[in-house]
Amino acid sequence: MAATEQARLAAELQVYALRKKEWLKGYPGRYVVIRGDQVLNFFPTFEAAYSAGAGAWGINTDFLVKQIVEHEPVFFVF
Amino acid sequence: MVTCRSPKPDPRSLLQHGPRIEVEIGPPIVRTSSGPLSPGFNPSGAGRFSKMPALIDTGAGRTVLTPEAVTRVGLRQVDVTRLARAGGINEDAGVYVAAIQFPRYKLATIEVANIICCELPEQPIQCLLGRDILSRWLFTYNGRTGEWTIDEEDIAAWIDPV
Repeated sequence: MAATEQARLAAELQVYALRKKEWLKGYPGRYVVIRGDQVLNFFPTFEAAYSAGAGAWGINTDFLVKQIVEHEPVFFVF
Repeated sequence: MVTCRSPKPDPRSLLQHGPRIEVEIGPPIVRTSSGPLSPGFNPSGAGRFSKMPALIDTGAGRTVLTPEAVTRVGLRQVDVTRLARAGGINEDAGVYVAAIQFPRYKLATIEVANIICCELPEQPIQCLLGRDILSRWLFTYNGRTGEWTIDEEDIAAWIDPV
């Protein structure tokens, strides 16, 4: 992954990492939407979360949509 | 119920290239109470749908697009995930959001889909349709006749990551 891509959502990923433990108690399995240090809300589906983020900040804005899970998933591609 | 078939029975082609289907990848289609959101005009061509062949890949947990295709379409990154590939390669990969259309078939457009971005070395293809997309369909692979079919019921226009 390019460094610029990693840097793009770095602030949002840091917010997620800092608050993940707390959110796991209240919103396990939900999707959180974050832009900068602003947390929009928690949603039951990715589609609802992304649509809310795009509705709030526009489709051309970077924001993080992250499912709150204890162990980050690993996806296999063969 | 919609049933789609591979263009023509060809056991040799299916064996050599695998089940391929033409797709159009573009920015997600987001509907709000005031209408659909649009990425707007971009002179580079980003933000428009791009046509490409995709390989239906039961070995891919999620749908994959190459960095070149992601850049061409101008998709926005929404997450980072961990990816494990053949050969024991583990890497961080960007997660992007896109819409997927099937121009040659009457399959429903997927308006909001998660797509993982990674290189597909040694493959003449820029898109793998993974099991997240396959979860919408009944997919049949007939190696004897060289055909595949997709059956789709009326379902939602989005997919949730597994």
